[in-house]
Amino acid sequence: MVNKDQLPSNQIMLSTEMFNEISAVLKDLEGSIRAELAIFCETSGIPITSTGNQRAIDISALSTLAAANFAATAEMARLLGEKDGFRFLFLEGERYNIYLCNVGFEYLLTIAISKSVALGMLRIYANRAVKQLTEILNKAKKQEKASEAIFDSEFADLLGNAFDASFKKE
Amino acid sequence: MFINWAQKELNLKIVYYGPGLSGKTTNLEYIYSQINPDCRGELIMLKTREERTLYFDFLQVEFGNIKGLRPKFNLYTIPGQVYYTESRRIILRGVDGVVFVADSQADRTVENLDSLLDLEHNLIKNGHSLESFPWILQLNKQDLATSGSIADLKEKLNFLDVPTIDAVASKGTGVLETLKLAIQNTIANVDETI
Repeated sequence: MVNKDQLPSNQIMLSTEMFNEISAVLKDLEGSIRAELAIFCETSGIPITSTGNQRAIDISALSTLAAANFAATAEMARLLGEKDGFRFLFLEGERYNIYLCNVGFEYLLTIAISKSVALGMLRIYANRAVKQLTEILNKAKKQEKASEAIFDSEFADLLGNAFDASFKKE
Repeated sequence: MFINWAQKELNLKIVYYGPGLSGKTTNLEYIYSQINPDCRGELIMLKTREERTLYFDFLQVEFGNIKGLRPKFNLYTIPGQVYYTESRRIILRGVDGVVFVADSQADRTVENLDSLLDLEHNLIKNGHSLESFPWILQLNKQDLATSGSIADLKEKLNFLDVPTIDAVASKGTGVLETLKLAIQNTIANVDETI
C-alpha cells in the first residue's frame, strides 16, 4: 500500500497486494493494444512494474529518462502558462511510438507501441488504464501501514560489506 | 525512498551536486568503471556537443540482498552551469541524499558558494533544508597546485559540519569512499525519519 500521508514527503511503500493489482492493469493494457512495453513508475523515475518485451532493455534507465522527459515537459507547460500541464507526451519513431502520461501527481505510465496502432485507440486504452490505476492508488491511500524497523545497525553493516565486495580490488 | 515489498526492492536517490566542471560526472564514470558489472545498470549521460552535462547523468547501482531487501541506489548528477537552474530543481525531486562536489581550486570559491546556495534554494523548494538534509562534502581536485588549503575550504564551505572527503576524482581517489559515506549517511537519515 502507498502510505505517503504518514511518511516523510519522499518516502513511499508499496505492498504486494497493490503491486499485483497494478501489474494486472498493465498486463491487460499490453494484451489489449499489443504494447511492446508498458512501464508504471513514480515521477522521479523509479520503475514500479513493467510488462512486455523487456529483453536487453534497462528498464530503470528507460524509466528515468521517461520521467525526466515528462518533468521537463511539465516545466515547459508552466512557463507557457498551461495551468494543468500537458496531458500526454507522444514520441514518434520509425518502428515504435512512445506515449507518456501522468497517473495522478506521483506516477507515470510509459507505453512503447508499434506504429501500426492508431493514436486514438492508444489514448482510449491508456486513459482506461490510468483510471484503473488511479482507483488502486486512491484505495491504497486510505489504508494504513505500520512502519517497520528496517534500517538498523545490522542493515548498515551488511550493506557496507556488500558495497566493499562489489568493487574491484585495487 | 521507494520500497517495493512485492519485488523486495529498496530504491534511494542520491544526487551529485556542485558547480560546473567540479567533477560530478567523473565521479560517476569512475564508479561505473570499478563496480562489478552485475551490480550496475547503464551509465546514461545527457551531454551537449561540448561534452558538458546538459540535463543529468544517471547510474543505478545495487548491492545484493540485505535482510530480505535489494537496495538500489539511483545516482544522478546535475548540470552545474548557472543557467540550468530549472533542470536542477527537477532532478532534486524525490532526492534522499546529496554529495556536494566542490572544486578545490582557490579561484572557484565563489562558484562553490553560489552552487551551495543554489542547492539550499532548491532543497527548500522540495521541502527540505541544508541543516536537516543528509548531504556530504567532497573536496575534489586536491592534486592541483591551484587548490586551496583543506582548512580554508572547510571553513568556507562546511559551515554545517557535514562529513567531508578529499578527492581526486580523475584518478579515482576518494570516489568510492564518497559513495560509501553518502549511502551510509542517507540510510542513517531514512532510519531516523521512518
